[in-house]
Amino acid sequence: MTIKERILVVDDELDICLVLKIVLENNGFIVTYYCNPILALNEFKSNFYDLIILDIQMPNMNGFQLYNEIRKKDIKSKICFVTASENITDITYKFPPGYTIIKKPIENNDLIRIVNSLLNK
Amino acid sequence: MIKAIISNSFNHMVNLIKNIKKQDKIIKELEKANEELKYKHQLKNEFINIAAHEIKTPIQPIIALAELLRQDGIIHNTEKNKEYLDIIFRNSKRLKQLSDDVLDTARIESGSFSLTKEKFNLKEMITNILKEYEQFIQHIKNLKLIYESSETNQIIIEADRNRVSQIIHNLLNNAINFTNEGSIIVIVERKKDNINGKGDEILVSIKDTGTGIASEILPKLFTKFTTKSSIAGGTGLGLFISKSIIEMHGGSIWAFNNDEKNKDERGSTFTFSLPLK
Repeated sequence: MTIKERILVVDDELDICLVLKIVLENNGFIVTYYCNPILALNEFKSNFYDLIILDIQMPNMNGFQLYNEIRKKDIKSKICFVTASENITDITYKFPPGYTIIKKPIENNDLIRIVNSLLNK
Repeated sequence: MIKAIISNSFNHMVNLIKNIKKQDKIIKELEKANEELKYKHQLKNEFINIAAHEIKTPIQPIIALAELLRQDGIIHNTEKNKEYLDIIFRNSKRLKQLSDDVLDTARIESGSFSLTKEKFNLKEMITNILKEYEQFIQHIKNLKLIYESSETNQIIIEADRNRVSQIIHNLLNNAINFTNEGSIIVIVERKKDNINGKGDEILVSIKDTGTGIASEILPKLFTKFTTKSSIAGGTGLGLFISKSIIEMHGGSIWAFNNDEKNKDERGSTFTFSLPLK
């Protein structure tokens, strides 16, 4: 029996969270999602997730700030960013080294391909 | 006499000071105008960014769920349901394309469009794209997709990988839309250019056996809102964007009807060049 990999999705858009959960679970992953980055951080379980997908533009705490906070608790999980924004490189956020950005909208096959490659599958 | 000279010199000095004051005023006005322009440019970029986010976010659930329902067969009970889903999926993809094209055009016009160059194998990119299209068209049209090149080895270029892929997709989509049968050939050639010191270039041509380009459209083909025909849909921005991207790379793009070179041939050929570094 293969162990299902766990993915955490944090995006302030509920429908995006739901759709990512449906598509990823359809491909054999276990998905937890939060629409509130503060809540996601408060309830964060260290070394529990294989992959964490963070929206960049969120109210109260953006994806990069959340990334930094998560990294204080967990250095093991793979983390990538998801955004519908343009000109991300113009934004004065500091990108972590070797970052991956998933651009919305993305077709399901492309999403799964990126997730699998991040998980070295 | 001395009095007159002193008076002249004084007047000259006064005029000089007045001119300096005028120039100073003009410089201040120009500086102010420049600041306003910078501010407007920044506002425009912010608007593009917000518009992109707000348009693209709701497209994601539509595309993802329509795709999932088509694959799952959950509501494939009737042919009608399948057809409805195909229409939703097709149109959500079209909406995505429209938002991408409008935002690219806004960025090109505001001067905020930028390239991220890297080295990659163009041959590998084109053959992979052709494989994608082969699967897609085999159920729709009786068309052969062919890759032709005198280059047997890898073709390494330094360019924006995603943008070059976007141009090839755009030209192939157009060729497929306007060609019902026959073939679409992607020809890749190296052009030696030792005469004017520009260096070698790579030429990529997409040659189809389709309807060709109407003579009245040909001169304005790469301008905004021009399509080869109103029948095939499209935003009319794809060729304008392709031309802008190619020119930002230092290349060029052009098109002709195949009967210009051989009167027995149908269809058209679109060629773009990229510098080989």
